[in-house]
Amino acid sequence: MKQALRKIRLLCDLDDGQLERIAAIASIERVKTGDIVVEEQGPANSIRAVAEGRVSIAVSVPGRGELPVCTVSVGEILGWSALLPQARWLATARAVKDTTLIVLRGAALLDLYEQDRELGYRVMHRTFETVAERLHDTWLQLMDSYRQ
Amino acid sequence: MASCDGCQLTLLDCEDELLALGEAVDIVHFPEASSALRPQGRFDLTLVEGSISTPEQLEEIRHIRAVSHALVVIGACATSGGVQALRNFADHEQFMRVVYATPSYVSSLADSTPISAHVPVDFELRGCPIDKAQLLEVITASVVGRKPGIPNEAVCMECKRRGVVCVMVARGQTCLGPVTHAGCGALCPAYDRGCYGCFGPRESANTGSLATWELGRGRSKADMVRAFRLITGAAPAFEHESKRHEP
Amino acid sequence: MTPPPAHWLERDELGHLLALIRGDGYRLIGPTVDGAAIIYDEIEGVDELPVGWTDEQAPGRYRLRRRDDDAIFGFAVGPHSWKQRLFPAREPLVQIRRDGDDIRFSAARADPPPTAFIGVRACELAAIELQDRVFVRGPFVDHRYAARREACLIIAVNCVEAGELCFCASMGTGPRVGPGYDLCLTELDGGFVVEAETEAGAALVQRLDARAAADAELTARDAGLDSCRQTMGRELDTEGLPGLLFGNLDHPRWTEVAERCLACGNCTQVCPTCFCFDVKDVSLLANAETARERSWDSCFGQDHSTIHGAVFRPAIADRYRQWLTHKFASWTSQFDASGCVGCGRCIAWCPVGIDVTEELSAIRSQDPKPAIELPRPQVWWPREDDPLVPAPARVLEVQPETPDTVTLVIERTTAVREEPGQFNMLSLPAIGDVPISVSGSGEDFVEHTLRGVGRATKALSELRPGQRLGVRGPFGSRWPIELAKDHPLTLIAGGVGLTPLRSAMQQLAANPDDYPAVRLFYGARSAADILYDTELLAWDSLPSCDVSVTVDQASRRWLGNIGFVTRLLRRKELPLDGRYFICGPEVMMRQVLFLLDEAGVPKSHRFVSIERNMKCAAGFCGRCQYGPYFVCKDGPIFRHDHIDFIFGQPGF
Ligand code: SF4
Ligand code: SF4
Ligand code: SF4
Ligand code: FES
Repeated sequence: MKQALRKIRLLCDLDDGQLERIAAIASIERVKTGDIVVEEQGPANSIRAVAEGRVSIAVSVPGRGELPVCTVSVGEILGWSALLPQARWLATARAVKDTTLIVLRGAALLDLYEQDRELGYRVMHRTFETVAERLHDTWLQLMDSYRQ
Repeated sequence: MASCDGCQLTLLDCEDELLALGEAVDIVHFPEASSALRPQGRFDLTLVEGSISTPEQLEEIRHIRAVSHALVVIGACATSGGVQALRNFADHEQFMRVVYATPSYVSSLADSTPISAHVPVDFELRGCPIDKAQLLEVITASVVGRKPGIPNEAVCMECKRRGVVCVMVARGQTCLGPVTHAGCGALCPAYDRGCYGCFGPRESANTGSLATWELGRGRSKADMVRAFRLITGAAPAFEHESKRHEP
Repeated sequence: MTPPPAHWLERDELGHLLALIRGDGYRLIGPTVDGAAIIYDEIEGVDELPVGWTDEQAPGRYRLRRRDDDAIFGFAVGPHSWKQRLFPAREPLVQIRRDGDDIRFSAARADPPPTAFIGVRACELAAIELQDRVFVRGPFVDHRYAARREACLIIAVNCVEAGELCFCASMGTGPRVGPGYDLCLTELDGGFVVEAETEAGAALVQRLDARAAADAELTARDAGLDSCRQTMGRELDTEGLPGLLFGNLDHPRWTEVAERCLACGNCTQVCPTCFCFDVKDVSLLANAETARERSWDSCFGQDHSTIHGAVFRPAIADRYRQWLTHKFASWTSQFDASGCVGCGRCIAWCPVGIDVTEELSAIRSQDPKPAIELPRPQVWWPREDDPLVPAPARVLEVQPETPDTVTLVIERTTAVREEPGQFNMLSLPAIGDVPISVSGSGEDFVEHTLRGVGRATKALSELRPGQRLGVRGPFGSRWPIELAKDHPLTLIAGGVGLTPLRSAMQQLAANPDDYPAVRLFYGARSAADILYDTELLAWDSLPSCDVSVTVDQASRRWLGNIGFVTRLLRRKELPLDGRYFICGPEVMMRQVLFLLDEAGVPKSHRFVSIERNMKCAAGFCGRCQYGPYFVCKDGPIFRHDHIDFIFGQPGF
């Protein structure tokens, strides 16, 4: 497990001991192409990282079905809503390849942050980085720049 | 729409060329189209002359826009409101009483406004009246599918290409050429007179700087109001400038 | 070199000289009073010269005035210049005839009559020499200009009085006339010192009743020149000017002058060295004949920097900065000389009296930032073919790529093989021509992939096999694919930006031994907009190539990556010794370059493709200027460190 965790950008600043503590709250989830990983409106309780494969994030548009807005690949995370209190999934995640995910329960992760503030800071810092990048990439995507 | 029909005359003046055009174009002419005589069907290119001065015209132009693939508005009236726009600066009621015996028969909007203020237009062909060669260019370009070769540049560019000696510099006259859309071929400067701005403001018209220069060499504020309030005085850039110099 | 022998010509003999020249079959163009100014026009003899006239000049002001004497050349330069004669304000370039599906393009020839320019001043001769650099000493020869240049005889005049706005001494172009004249006159009391530089000039002197000039006359000539030099109305410190201007692209003075500048373009039109032009197809609807014409243009006009509706220099400040940086800085990189000869015309004929010398000294004196190093000019060996005349080519095949994009496979018209990254100008009669990059080529065909967005590309995309179009090229710089022999290579493409990279990719994929490590990252709008999909798959299946695709918009059926191309790059390793070719919309390239900055990839390892307004593609029309470069000849492919001081800067 520790081996798998090392490949996740979110956790790349952690030392061995810290990784072990994360490993203790992590579990593996395997899904097949087309399977739903999390569903819009469902309770957001875990943050996930892609160890293998690819997952698409889609928003349902009434009358048009699911509209994928981005994909998440190896080493990247999805489901940061799980770190917010009483959150729900705002989008549906679906495997577009056979995919292996590492699941970290939000509540347990928050407990870990409390116990080890330094670990918490390092992981949250990377979480923030991911959110910022994702937001920035989304602006660019929104610009529809190839259209001119 | 509201105009003197001079621009339509330009169209007729293109007789020979229009015959040539005729092979490629079907011409459906509808002057002063009233709602009763509305032509049916859709049009590839509609040329509209005149400004919007009455509620009927407003309704009419919306209809025309809806049935035309390309809408080209021609002349200073259609592109900037024209001379009739002078009333925008005056009390409308008073104007009506002076001009018409029984003003209540005349239905009229308070402002005379360019067509682009009401519906999207594909090309604005400026001028008072429009230039024949430019009109043909717009029609040809629209049919063969090229961008009309009518750059949005200053009259000065045409003036210099012709080798005309600048009347501002060599004769100390006021000339709107630097802020006016090209198209006339620098007609007035070629006759040693400053440009009156018939083609309306060009893009990036720096009217403020021109006025400052003129005031700096002895012109009065009233001169500035007059200069900017001629043929295309309702075009925003000129209107704004003339208002700045009002007493 | 010994100075040419000088002769003395009595004042009354000038008429004789002009008559001789006319007798030799030359038409005379010289200064003459026309209403309010001294202009250059056709003359017959001395009577029409401005005898006893002079001018008073100030910023935005020019007035004629009577002199106290009857000097013939006692005035400074006026609103006209010789540019009008050598590079006329309007002229046809190509005649196009359409005959059914057949199209014929023929060069419009200049056929100039022999013409003598009377009274060419030092600054003016320098200006002619500068325009020679543009029109005959670049990568191509403009044959119309060259023919007129050949046909002219230059009778120059040394200035012994300086005008209020002259600064040729600062620019090193005067007041003494430099090389390039046939005859040079210096007007003194009672007559002229005459010097001949060419055989034609010497032959004229021989036929005149001219004796060798006396020492006193030569001394008087030199004294006149000296006093002229010392009384120049303007002065300019040119030391390090190019680097200073480009180091101060954000100087507050640009916005300040933009409040006064009318963007009218007068300065560029009167400037004897400005060479920008626009090209338009002129035709009447029912006519099979089209004339492709050029007309003087100016960087102060909006169209100068517009492509696909995007205006690259929207603000007056951008345009004024283009004018001044081109004249006094870019020229040095482009043509190895300043673009200003110090004639002062732009100062006099600016309707609001903006003075370049004042603007430049303001930038130098008001808190300037340090100068930067500018690129050195390239040396070109002109190609003899006329770059402006297209060759007719048949469309062999039309392959639909996406709903709005097609690949035209056209007949090869030139033996010159296109290099990856180069472009051709494709043209249709009555519509005009547009630059389209070469997306592939073979022994007897060339491929162009184009999106029908503008009017010209739309018309091109509607061509059918068997129909004809015009082609000229290939033009421009290339992707340096040989770098991939020693370095891992990453190609990053966005949208139709894949097309110029495709020909590179084809060569890279075909030679895996030479190019063992090639990656292609490609961002498209949607799955339906992906170009060359079968080829992408084929490349990806090669051991030497790795292809990743991402789209901005997708449906549920799309199982690939979704997200902007930067999303893709963040996941990949970006090796520091790798080389990177980037092509796509400028905003995309900018973002990709940011990521490469973060990764620490040196700028010299990155190559980008720049798109600007192009008309001639041969380095003549000035439309494609990009800072000190011309996109058509120095680009479209640039190394990032060569353009980083302007890349992404508003107004370039
Ligand atoms: S920039 Fe001005 S002074 Fe210099 S050559 Fe051009 S017109 Fe003359
Ligand atoms: S870009 Fe240069 S050559 Fe062209 S008009 Fe401007 S200053 Fe003159
Ligand atoms: S500097 Fe003067 S001449 Fe040149 S564009 Fe500005 S206002 Fe016109
Ligand atoms: S100089 Fe004409 S396109 Fe480059």
